[in-house]
Amino acid sequence: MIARRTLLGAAGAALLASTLTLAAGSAAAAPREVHFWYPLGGAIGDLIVKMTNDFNASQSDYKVVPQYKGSYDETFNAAVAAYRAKKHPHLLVGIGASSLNLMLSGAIYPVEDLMKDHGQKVDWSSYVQPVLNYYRTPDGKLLSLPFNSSTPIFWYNKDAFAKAGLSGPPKTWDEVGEYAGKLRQAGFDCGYTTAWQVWVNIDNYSFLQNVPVATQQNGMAGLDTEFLFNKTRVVQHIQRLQDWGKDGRFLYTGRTWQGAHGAFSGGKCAMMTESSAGFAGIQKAAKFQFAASYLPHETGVTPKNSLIGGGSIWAMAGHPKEDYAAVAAYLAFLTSTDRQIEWHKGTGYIPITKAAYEKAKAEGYYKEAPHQEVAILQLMREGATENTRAVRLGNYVQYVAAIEDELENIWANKKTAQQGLDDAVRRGNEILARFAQQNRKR
Amino acid sequence: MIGKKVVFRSRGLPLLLLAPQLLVILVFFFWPAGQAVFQAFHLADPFGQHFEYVGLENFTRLFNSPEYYDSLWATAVFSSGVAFLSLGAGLVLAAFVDHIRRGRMVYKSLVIWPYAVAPVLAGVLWLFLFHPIYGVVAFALERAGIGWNPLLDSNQAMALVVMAAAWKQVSYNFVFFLAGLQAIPRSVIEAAAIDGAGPLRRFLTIVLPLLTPTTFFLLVINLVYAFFDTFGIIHAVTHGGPGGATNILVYKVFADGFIGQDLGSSAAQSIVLMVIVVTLTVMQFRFLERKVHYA
Repeated sequence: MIARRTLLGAAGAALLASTLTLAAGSAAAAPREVHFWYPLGGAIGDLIVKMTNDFNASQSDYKVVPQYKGSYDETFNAAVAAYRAKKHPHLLVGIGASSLNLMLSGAIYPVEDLMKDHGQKVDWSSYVQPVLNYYRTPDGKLLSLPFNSSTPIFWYNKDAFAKAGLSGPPKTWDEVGEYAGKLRQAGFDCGYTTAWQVWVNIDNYSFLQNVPVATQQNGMAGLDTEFLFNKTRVVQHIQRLQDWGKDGRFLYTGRTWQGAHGAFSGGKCAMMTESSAGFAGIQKAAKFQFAASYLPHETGVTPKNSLIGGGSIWAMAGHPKEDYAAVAAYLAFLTSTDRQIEWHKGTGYIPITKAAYEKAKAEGYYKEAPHQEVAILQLMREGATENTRAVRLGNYVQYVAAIEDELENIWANKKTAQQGLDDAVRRGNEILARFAQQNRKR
Repeated sequence: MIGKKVVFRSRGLPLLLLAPQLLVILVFFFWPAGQAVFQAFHLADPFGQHFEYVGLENFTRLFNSPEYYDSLWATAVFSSGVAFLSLGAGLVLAAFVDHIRRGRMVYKSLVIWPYAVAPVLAGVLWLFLFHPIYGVVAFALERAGIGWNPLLDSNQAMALVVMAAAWKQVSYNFVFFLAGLQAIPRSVIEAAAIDGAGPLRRFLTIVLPLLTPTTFFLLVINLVYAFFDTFGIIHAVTHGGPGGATNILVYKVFADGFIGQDLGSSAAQSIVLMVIVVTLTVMQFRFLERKVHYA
């Protein structure tokens, strides 16, 4: 018992000492700290740290502490756990597809209100509207700030194309099949592969072809939603990829992106659909000439805009009012034109203000890096319909895992495309219904 | 020793001595387990804003889903595979090391290393060897003309996670088997040798029966390991794919609860899992233990 008492005493003394230090620190007007959690590692994470350091050096009232928290899921879950323990960060980067869970969480401070409440005048009309709309409520309030916005584009290996006697990228899926056949004949292991198979080959495929992914305008109009992609031309598309898989024109390289990058940058597959933000990684690993073009579409279809991906910055509620002034100042800093250009060039994410895009264009940046403009032009295509505004469905992490399961069953030829997609829709609908049940009282 | 018992005079002292351990169990086992039972009958959102009693709905959903039965089957294959492979490899390695005179310490230390590797890391290591796109061994297999694609071939995916999970557990089994082997009296083996029994026969008729207490203990431990501790490996190597082929029960608990944030369903699943493992363990003690020879 004596030992225990001494230990407790020592702990108490240490606690007291640290409290005193803290008190002394705040008396000396230390800058107000803002915590920022993000899920972007590697070169992109380094750039976040660099830009944050620039912000901290530019003034002395606030200090933003950036912290890398692992993948999107890990970061989100860390924030949820922290929120329940009342130790959550001020700012959080969430994946766009999970937005509905955050929107209805009751744990966020809408960015539009936050900026207004703290005297940051923002001209939201100067932003790229399709990007902004993704993060707005039905009545038009902006809830989170688009930050790392991307969209999938079509990457191709120019050296391999030359070897197979191909010039220029394919425009339609029929041409992709034809090109893939020629690449196979030229001795390549595979024709086409994809990262993010659900985002690219179900969501974005539906957008370009102007068919719905789910009911209620893809979830924009209400919570009682069901998937529809087993009843649209997505079925024929998936069927076609399954057929191509049998003769090596299509190669499945796994979920997320690492496998697809390995196959493309390693010279195995000469065509890949992947996020515009894949640029940094491809450039680092590929030992050949590559280029990017628009996502393919069906013959005879005028393609619509593609679906945005990546993530946005959410302000979490429940901190002292004074902290949010710091948050607002930091967000204003990140969205300034020069910062947006730096971010765009360094990562392959698109600039979110028109001014940043125009300036990069005027500098002649897109002449030297044309692939960087592809994503922007593809997202900003005129004539969006209710099928192509956004996808806003709950429990994204769960439903996407169920769909990937079933796509794998199709690629492994255990199920036909129709069977697999029917099962994916059945499982996905159960997950959506559960989300609606959780949130019906709001 | 038989018949000699230490008896406490008062009731208080034994309880006091047990108290720290009981407290640990209460706080770290019964309390969370109680929470799980509570959550299994509720539907909650991750942020803790919405909480609703739903009765048995979390369970009925589970048993109405065909994927849950696939997961049960995958768990049976995975657990027996891991237990068989890790027990077998541990025994073989221990039997060899038992015969080594020189450098036994070196072998022992090397074989024990994998146990110190965290499950997720073990998974990542195996993935780097066997990923069909960037894996070194996968590349060699392809060169040798062997079609290797665990991204789509569910049997290969299962084999890969079984190997990775068993590899991590071999060390543990090795240590116990080696201790068990060294506890077998030399005189018995020598007597058999003099009677003309060859090494294999000696191993099968003398060593193995005398090792049954160790084997039984390890079987229980290995099954519990395969059922509970392997989600990190699955997460790193296959994410439960392809098509749910490696989506074992504990990974589903982890994925639905800690990635998908569906706490109610995850809690219901962990209760089912606990019931399964308790039943299995009780059955092992009732039926298998009869065949164990305690020396």
